[in-house]
Amino acid sequence: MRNRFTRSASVLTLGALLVVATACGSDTKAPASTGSVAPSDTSATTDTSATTEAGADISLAVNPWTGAAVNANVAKIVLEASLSTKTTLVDIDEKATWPGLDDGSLDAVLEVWPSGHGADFDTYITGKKTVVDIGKLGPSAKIGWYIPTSMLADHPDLATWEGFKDPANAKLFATAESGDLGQFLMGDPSYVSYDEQIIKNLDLPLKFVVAGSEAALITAVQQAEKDGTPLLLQFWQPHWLQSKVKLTEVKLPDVTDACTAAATANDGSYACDYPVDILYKAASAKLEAKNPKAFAFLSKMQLTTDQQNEIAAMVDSDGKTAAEAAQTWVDANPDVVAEWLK
Amino acid sequence: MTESAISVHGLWKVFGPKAERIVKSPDADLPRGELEAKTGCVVAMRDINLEVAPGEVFVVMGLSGSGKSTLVRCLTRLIEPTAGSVTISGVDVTGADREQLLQLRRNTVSMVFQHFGLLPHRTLIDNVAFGLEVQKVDKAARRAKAEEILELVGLGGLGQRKPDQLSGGMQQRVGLGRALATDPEILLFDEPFSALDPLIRRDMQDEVIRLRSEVNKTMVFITHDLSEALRLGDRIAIMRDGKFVQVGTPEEVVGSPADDYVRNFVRDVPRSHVIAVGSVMSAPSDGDDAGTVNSTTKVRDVVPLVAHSDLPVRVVNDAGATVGSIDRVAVLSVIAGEDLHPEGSQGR
Amino acid sequence: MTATMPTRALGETPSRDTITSGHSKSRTPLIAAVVALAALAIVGFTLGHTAPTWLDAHVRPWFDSVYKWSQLNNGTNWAFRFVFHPIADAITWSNDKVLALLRALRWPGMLALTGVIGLRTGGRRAAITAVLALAGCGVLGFWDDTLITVALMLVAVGISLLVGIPLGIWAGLSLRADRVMRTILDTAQVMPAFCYLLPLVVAFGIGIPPAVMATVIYAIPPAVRLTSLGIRGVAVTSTEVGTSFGCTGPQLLTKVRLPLARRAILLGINQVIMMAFGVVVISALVGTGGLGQDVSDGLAKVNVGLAFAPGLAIVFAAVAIDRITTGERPSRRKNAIANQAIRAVLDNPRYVGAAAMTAIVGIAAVAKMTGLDDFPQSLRFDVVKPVNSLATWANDHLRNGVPIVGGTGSFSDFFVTHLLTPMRDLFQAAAWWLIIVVFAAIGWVSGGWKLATLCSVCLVGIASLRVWDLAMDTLSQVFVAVLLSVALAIPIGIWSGRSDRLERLLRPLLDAAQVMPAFVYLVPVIFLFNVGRVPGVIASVIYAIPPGIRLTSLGLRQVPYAPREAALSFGATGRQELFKVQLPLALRSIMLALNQTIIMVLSMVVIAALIGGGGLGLETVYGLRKGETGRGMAGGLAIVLLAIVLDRITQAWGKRSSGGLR
Repeated sequence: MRNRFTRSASVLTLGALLVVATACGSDTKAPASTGSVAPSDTSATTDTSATTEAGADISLAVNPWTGAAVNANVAKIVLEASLSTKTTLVDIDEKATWPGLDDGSLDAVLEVWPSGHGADFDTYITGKKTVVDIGKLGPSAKIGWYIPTSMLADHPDLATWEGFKDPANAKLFATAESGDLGQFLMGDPSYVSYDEQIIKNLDLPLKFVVAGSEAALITAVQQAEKDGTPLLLQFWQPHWLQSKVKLTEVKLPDVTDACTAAATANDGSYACDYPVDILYKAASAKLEAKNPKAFAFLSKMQLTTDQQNEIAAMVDSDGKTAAEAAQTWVDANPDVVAEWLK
Repeated sequence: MTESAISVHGLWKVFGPKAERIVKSPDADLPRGELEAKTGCVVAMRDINLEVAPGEVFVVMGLSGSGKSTLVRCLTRLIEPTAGSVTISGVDVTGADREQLLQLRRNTVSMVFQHFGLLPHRTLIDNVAFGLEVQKVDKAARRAKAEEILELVGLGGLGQRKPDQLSGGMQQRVGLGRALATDPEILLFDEPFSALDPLIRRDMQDEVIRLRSEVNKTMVFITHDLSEALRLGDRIAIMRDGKFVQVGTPEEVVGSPADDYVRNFVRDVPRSHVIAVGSVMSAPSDGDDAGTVNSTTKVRDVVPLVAHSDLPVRVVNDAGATVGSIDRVAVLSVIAGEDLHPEGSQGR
Repeated sequence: MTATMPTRALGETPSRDTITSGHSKSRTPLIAAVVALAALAIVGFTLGHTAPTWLDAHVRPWFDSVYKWSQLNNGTNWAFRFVFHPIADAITWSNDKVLALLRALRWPGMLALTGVIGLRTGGRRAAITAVLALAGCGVLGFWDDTLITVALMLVAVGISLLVGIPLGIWAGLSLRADRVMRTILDTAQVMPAFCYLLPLVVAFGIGIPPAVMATVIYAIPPAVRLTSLGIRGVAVTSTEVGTSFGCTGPQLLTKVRLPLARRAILLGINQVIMMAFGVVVISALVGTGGLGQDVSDGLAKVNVGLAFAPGLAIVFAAVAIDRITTGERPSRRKNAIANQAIRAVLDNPRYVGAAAMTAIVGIAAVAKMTGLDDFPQSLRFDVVKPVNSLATWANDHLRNGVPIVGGTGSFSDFFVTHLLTPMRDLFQAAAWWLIIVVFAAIGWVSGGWKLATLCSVCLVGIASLRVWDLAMDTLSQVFVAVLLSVALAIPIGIWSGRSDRLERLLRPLLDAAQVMPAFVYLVPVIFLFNVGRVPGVIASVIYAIPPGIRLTSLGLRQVPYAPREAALSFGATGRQELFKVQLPLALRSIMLALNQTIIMVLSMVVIAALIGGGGLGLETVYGLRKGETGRGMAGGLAIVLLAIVLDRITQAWGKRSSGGLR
């Protein structure tokens, strides 16, 4: 009898605990209902002065770089304030973004670098048609070869690729890893890389070394900057580091039709500069039906390179969160936002 | 003629690959090392036959590796015998199906283990009640029974302790209690006291003797200690290399060893401690006597009588009828037949 | 000479003649062997360096096509719709509920709950440590992210146990199941999460489900292993007791085997939790948020402090959970309370549990009413700045210009030029089959022909994955990392085995080194050692020495006192006692330490690739970062095969050293 009593007592308390849990769970400000995707930044509060009818909730992918966070936070502010669409931001790896768009658990990604996602484009946009291309973001990006600007003072010939033909020049870049050759450092393996082909086809005395991650590459740059040591690397625009460390792009041979053909054929004969990457936005094919207004807005939304850099600088240099920076910019540029909503 | 409690016929146990081929083959007679080299098999027990009467205490004695532990485990098929048959209380154990075997183990036979085999995560009371729990006896009933049994083995009131809080002797009392709790007809003891101090061992042996007189169970007792065997056994089987070398009463074993192996074993045993008056007495004599003893009295217990008198001692049977007499010379000759430096003796 | 006598055939009279002839006999095969080896080496270094093309298992295209097919059919195929997606939904649902409960408790309720569990499982000390550690997560400013991570952990650990313990029981009861599972578990533990993360996303969608699945794959092995070990470790006497009283199979399991295997199973649960914390950061890549995301953010900004603070929170959370899941409950002291009724209440765990739960609910309710939602700002402490200034200081002072040693930068260069590069060149210059022959020979010497076959098969497998040269690159780095780890771990372990104070001092450091995500120290390691193979080796060493130190110390401490006492009674000095008694008797444990070190180093191959290690690790990074699943899988499988070879060889050494003892 006593046992039964205590058992039911503990069941009751457990039940009470659960009731409290669910009761409180529903009022926590973080959206527990979408537990599969965690909010990246909940500090941006919702503007409740909405005039339009509320649209279905959407979630935007945030890939791990400042530009991506900036775009998504700007979009979130506009979506919530002007379109009454509750928006969740999901921090996620670039590659994992696509299956998310595919099954509709992510609604859009606002900054896709085409060079890294050719296969995804083929699979999901032209193949399954579960993801749609919703136009250019605005800024274009470019991958290239970079050296610290300070090196040009003593070695002006390093401004172009021909300067690297000289073994003595190349040797400036030698490290323990590259031995007698100069070291060419590549960072994140996810970026397109023709560097090995370029080195071989232009017959440069360089050795291709993979740092393995963007963090490793940036650390190497900061190290070189601090020590004043030479460094040759693959890098790109836009990137927050460009505003902190002075890097100069090495001029490679101009892009020609033959060169583009070599890239397509993938025959190992690539020997020119990288083409310009035009950043684009992609959305789940389900978004248009689910929330047409949001779809229209996201398709229209564009930022210029300068605008994106302006917001990114607030984050990278002024220590604001991406949400704060986006809010500041949106408040200061109502006309730009209005244009997107037309 | 009552049926045997345990009846074993032609029981073999061979460990190794294709063990059944070895049984009764010429290979089985090879020395252990040669057999193992040739076939990879080891014969633990060969062609064992035995009958244990209800209420009898049957002791199997042998040195380590003689196969005695294998034998006791084959009785309830804790180890599957390779060949032969075992019948317990009329149940054909070797042919039994799973259900029959479980019933046998649950209700008919219990075992007491060498290293006590108490389950360390259970209290004493739950250890004692283990067999009942397995039979799905309800909690209150098995607790009550277990309390009673703990009282019986002298551990009343300690039921909530855990085994590791007890001395070895007390632990084995629990082991004994656990075996008794299911009220089995047959108790199997696998060297139960070998891990105990000599004094405690003696206490425990007394406990077994007491139990025997109180509950009258059939017992099979495995030991490597000759004095224990002689003390407890109605009959003793001496086991060597998987075979019974001799089966007989303590008197027979000590009095007429079957071979040198047994003789060597019993050499240090004071014969007067084992041999009963009945087996050395002469015809009843008329006239006065120095006293009266039962025919089962050990010879050494007659010594005080014959020491103080030249007269013979009258021997009677259980019914009190005179069956013979024993005199000083007979007693001395029993004593004289033994070693004069009896270190092995454990006289009271 | 006399030592060889007993081996001579019986009846043979030892004379000068036979001794000398014995000498020449033994010399001839030696010379022959040397000549053969030299010939082999010459051929091996001149012919066919990499594996031939006919030896291609077509693993990459196969995985690529499966992956591609899954990408295209994950919306329509029944396996996805009726198996994977429901599983994903169930995982998401459980996670939501657990997280809601944790959040509802508020921080005071959570701390109270931790304290109560700690008191129940490990006593007062454990409870205090756990509460302080968990509070530390809040102090660092990561309260809600900690809850997100802990909720994910709990779900993953729950699934791991739900699946792992039954599998462990099966493996404990059946030798064949054990053997099969051992191989699968080895694979699960060494296979880098990088190569199966994307396929999991395709199968389960983004967010919590693939993260939980990845965690389960990585964390389940200890649950299975330790359960199996526990079941196997139950003394035959105990199971015999059960059988003799007529237990059925299930009765034997529930009444005897499982209760007696309890300690091992509890240890398994604890290990599962620790392993689960090891993949927190990787799981954040698929959109789970939490502490892993915070570490990733810090890393993306290349900010040591920003990555370190959430890393520290992960360590705190792990320590909190560790302390409340290990440790036997202290034996209950007799209550001084005379009143029978009150004592009965206090002794009844149900009453105490109900009371504790009511108290926790009460605390949570009060916290809700008083608005104690977030961890109080006033209690926060910022570690970002001090850590960053420490990092800057280290960078300024340790890299260059350190007297005598020259600094970490020049150390790194020396290491690459004189050790890593020559070794890699040697391995890559040797013909693939020569390497296989060498490993087969090592296998044969260590564990007989079975091991030799296993080594050969695994290495041929690597060749058939078409990653031979990369595998040799990785192998050279693994060698160096293991050498370095062992050189550090064994002396420290010996010292710690002989000094209680050092042991106490080291414990939190070792805990931290094991749980702190490697991503946290990637940046400082690069700062100090330059991008390349050395920072990878250093990161591996940091990760691999804790178990090495622990096992060595444990081995030393487990040496029974009797032989040491005997040595002392013969007048042995401390040194002699160590070298002649303790070390030989601890050899088995030390061999296990070596084995664990190798496995740990191999599990860091991918991390090393993120900072310039290259080799097989980089292949698996390609798998995730470029979506080239086939490439990632080939790299991952090659790492697994390499791990099996090295693991089995060192295990054989361990067995031999124990054989020598008995």
